[in-house]
Amino acid sequence: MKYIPQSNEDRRELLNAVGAKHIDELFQHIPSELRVQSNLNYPLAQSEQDLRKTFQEIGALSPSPKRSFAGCGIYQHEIPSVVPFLQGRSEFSTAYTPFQPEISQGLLQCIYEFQTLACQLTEMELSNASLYDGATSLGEAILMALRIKKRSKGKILISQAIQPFYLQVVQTYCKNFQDRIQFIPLSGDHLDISQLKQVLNDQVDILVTQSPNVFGVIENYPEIASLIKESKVLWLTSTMEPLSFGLTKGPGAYGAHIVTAEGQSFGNSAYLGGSTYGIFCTKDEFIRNLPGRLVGQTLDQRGRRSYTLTFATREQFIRRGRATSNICTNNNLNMLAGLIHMSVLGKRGIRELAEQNFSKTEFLKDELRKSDFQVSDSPTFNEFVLETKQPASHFLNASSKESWVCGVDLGRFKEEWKHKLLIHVSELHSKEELLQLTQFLRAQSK
Amino acid sequence: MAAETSEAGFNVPQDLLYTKNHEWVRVEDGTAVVGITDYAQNQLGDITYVELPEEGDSFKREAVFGTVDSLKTVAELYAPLDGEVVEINADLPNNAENVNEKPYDDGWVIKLEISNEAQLEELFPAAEYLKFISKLSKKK
Repeated sequence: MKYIPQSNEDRRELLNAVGAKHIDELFQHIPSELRVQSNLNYPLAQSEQDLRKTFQEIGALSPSPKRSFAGCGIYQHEIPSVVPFLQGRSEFSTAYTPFQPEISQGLLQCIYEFQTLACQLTEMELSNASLYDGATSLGEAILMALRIKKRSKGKILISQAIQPFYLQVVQTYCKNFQDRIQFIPLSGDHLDISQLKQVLNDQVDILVTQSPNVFGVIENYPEIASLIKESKVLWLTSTMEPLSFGLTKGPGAYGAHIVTAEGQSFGNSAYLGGSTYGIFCTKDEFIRNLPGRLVGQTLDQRGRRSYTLTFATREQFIRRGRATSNICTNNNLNMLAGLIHMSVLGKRGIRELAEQNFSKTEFLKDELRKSDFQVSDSPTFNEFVLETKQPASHFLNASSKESWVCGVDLGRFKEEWKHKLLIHVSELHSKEELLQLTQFLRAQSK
Repeated sequence: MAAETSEAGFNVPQDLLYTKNHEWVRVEDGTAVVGITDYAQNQLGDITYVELPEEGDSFKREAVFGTVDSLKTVAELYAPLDGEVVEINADLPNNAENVNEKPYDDGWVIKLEISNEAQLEELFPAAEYLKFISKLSKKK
């Protein structure tokens, strides 16, 4: 059945109204070589049985690894069964924010509770209902900081220790004011604080940092905090692994103005780059510049607790071209998985999980040092760089032959990083697996 | 204060000047006090917030110098004249309802130092603004 609601007569009327003879005239601005000239090359309809077989064949081309130590922005964690069970309930999995959102009190309550947990995790005052992912959240944070700074034309300082994919997204967001960007170089495997000190002056509007950074290293936020404390600089932070806040203070505790994070590691899988959602928190005073949706708690006519979309006049569906952001939705289903996961863990559970991740990582680092590998002394959370004699790609090729993944080759980002193997350890890895990894790396180093 | 009232009941004081963007101007010792008209506040509905510029900011005529949030929309405020902001109504963000209740009085928004007197000639006197808003009301 074709679902085409307009009759030919309707179409003629619509075309007449805009002064076009044929529907092709509406696409004239697209160069003809970019337009599809013939039918799309899709196979014919298949039976359910054949279709299943086709997809099984496609799936078999990239089997799930037996074991993975890959992180670098997407982290595999144990997802308790209650997460997909609750998340998959039809009330959640089919509900989109309706145009009268207050009719969906349950949905709004979920968002409100997520906002509350995001604030507690990052030690911030205000959270939106989530954005698409960690990288676009960081881009939105820069745009928001520019709105707060209004007509100021000061510098935007960006740490070079930020994960390169995040930097690419940020540079896309900043394409029209690239001349304001200044990168703060690395000192080894972290941000060079003495360089930061030198360039921080009243010509600087924004500072952007990431912790843990691309090398898994926890940046020295107490020191950065003391540098920017007396300045007018807006400090924006990014975090790829928010579980690290189970052990470290949230950036809010250090005085960060906007805190962004990738939420995937709470509640979402790591397949094919994960299902993501962005955590975006700030201070109450900046509420009018916040991108995305925001849910507030209020009382209804009869004095009962209820939830409502609030400060919606910032948003695109009301404010059109002058909205604070072109994002007027949120990643609700993925965010919901994160909310359920965090609620199930609780404050103590998050801390315990973080401790497990940290101590297993430290165990592996010690084992590797005992085997004469070079591992940095910088503080890390659940990911660290192993300096390898052979290129890191050599180890990855060897492990993938056995259907597992021994880490991430940082050489994929920069030639000068090709001897850096980034290894992520979580609660999913047993002691035996960590010892096996050490043995494998030793054997492959010969 | 002598005032006229439009057919639809909007208050249009005679001693003020007006713009097509519904700002009013009161000239006081070389400065222009600026606010939004009774008609404008009525169109916006309940006003919840006013975003102000900073003292010392300069604006060209027609440039956006602030915003007014109401429950249903956000409206831009346009400078009626070229000039530097010499004073802002700092109470306004916390008492935004003054724009609804006393648009020509406690609801004033900024004071501009007039840098080009000739621009005053181009603003509407009360009678013309009255005609302007009557036409707008009729369109609807």
